[in-house]
Amino acid sequence: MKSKRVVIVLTIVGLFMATTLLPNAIAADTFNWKKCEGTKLRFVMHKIPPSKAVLETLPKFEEKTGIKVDAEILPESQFRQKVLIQFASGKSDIDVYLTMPANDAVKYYTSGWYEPLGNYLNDPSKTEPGYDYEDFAKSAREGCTIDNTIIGMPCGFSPAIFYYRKDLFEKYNVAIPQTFDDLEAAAKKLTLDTDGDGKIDIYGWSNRGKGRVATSVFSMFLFGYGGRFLDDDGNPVINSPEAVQALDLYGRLLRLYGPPGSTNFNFYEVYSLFQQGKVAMCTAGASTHKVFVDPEKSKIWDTVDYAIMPGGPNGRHSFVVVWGFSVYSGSKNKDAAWLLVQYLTDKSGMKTLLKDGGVTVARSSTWKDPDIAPITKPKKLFDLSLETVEKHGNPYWNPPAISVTELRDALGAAIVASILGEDVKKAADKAQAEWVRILKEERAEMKK
Amino acid sequence: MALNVAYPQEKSRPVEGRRSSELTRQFVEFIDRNLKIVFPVPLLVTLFLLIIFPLIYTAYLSFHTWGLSANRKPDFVWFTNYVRIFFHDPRFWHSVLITMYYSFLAVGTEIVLGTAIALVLNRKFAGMKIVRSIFILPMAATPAAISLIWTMMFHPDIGVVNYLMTRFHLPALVWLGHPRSALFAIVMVDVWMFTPFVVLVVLAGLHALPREPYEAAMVDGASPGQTLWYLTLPFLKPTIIVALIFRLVQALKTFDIIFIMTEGGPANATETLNLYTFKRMFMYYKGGYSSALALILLSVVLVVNIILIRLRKREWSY
Repeated sequence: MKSKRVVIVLTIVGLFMATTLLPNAIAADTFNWKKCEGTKLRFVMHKIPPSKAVLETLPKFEEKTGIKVDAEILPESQFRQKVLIQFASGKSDIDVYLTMPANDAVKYYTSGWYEPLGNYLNDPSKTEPGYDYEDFAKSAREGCTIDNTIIGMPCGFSPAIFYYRKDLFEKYNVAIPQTFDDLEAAAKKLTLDTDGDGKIDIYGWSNRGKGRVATSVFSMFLFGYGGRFLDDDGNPVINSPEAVQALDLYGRLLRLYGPPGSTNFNFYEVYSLFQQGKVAMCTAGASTHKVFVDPEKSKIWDTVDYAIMPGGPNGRHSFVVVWGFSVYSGSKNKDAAWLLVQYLTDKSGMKTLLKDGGVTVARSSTWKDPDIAPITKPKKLFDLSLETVEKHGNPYWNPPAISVTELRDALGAAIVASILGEDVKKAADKAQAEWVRILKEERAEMKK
Repeated sequence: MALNVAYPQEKSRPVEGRRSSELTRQFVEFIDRNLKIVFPVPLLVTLFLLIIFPLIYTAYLSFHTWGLSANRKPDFVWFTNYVRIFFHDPRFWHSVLITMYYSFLAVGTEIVLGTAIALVLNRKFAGMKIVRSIFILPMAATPAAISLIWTMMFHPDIGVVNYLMTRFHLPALVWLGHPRSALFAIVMVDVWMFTPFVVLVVLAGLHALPREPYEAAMVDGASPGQTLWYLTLPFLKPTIIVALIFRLVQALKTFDIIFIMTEGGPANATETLNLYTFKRMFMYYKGGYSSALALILLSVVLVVNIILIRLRKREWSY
């Protein structure tokens, strides 16, 4: 019977110890990283510049909080479809996911898939002290808010930057274009036959032309001429004179000074040609800079330079892609999910993401952190990115509607028509009619 | 049952007294007795889960509108989707046209080319086994990988195809970049991928040809051309129709190569019905409408299938 007594005593001692160690978890008033210890989270994202750094910080998160994270990185379109199907079924086990509000916000918000994070921010037991939501750049915060509801924590943004070949500009005495007219003149001057064989070897300008994917770049020209997607009453105005002017310029630039086959170009084809030295100017995200200066992949690594995207009569409107981390409204571990989101986007989290290089993170304080200053090279690029985002950034480069993809397809068809040299006004009118129909259907659906 | 009677010795074997062997024996007996139910059950379950249930669910959805959200249940809308598709959707009719154009052009080329190649490969020549194996390769590779590589090859500036064209003093084309040439480029890839299939089927048919008519033709002094036209091809008709059935049904549903190479563009020039259905569902979030489109595609494929099977039955009655 001695063994039985030992067992009883040990059990009592064990229970005693357990109860003295538990209070931390029970006290709801203080914030504690280990609050949700033992939970398992599912985290899904697609490949963005910080994704590698994010994956690398996850083991440290697991150590700090005791929460196990099952992370997945997928290619972008598969990611969208997978997340969509999972959420549509209503039975997803995804807890935290990456979101690109300009594309997804309206659809996901109206479907109720975002967990509103405002309440979590205001609850001191759930949010770490010093998180400082106001520290995020204004356009990043705006980008992740819809209908006055905060739907995600900004992680990073990528503004569109104008890249050009320094050597060609110097050789042919071309100044950095400031306006669209300058841009066209420069493109014309730099479309060259350098070896006299009658075939063009260097094209002045290259950009996306594959319909839907070109609308984001096109938005820079649209807003630059003073055009808009929707007017103040929410009616489409993409056949306005400004829009037609923008369509005409976009198509003309690619048709006359761009490489053949532009109508099938997504960003990948544009970058490849630029890397091979066949193109004098293009636009790309700030993070693409890394790809252009890699001596192993890029022929022009030592002669590429960048500037702010030229503007039109209505100013410069570089489109800014904002990414954020959101919590799924149907998640069963919302508190733990919120801990993960915080960890990735708080001040030290952002510092880690920025250190990986080539990532424009969304917190203003991170830029001014003395620890970071020697690491952010090239400094010129980051300064330019910040300036673009703060002064000329446009996070609203998609029409604010649910059927974003369908609208972009319709506008994309007009862009393709312009590139092919067809009647631009007719194409714009056709796109306008499509937009009217799509938005009418969408609003009728919403009323039900 | 007959099976039980066939093995009386096994039944009278002494039972070992452990529960598990008794249960096993009862289980085996149960299966023996109900063989005609047990064997088909796995097949029926699979058929039901993978084919019948999705079909019924798609048909159900096609009479509703649904935005692919669990928060809003599908709304019943009678035949609205079908009416819209047939009478108010020019893009639907355009996609049907493209589908027919694509399928008949690709399959027609494959049948002609495949038969010709099979006739050549049917002879004995040095290295014929190796040549036959190499010919099968395009069919064995993954369509996704093939499409990506062909997209690179079709690049107007740095692609191999234009390089070869200019080498032979032919004009360099834009291929996937222009609405008119994009469809032909994709048809080319389809022909490259699936002609080997037709070759295989026709080769099998050639091996099964009867010898006597040929000997009679030789005695009568028929030229090779006459033998081909009056003997071989008519004999091959049923086989060719089998190849035609398989290929046409598959071509009508082609998705992967088109999606990867042009995603239906430029300007919807290569948007087949299957691609259009996919876009409506997964890009525009129109669950009910795309379900109706899917059913229409199924009906088209079914009708083509029935016509071809009737044709084959007629031809194979010699």
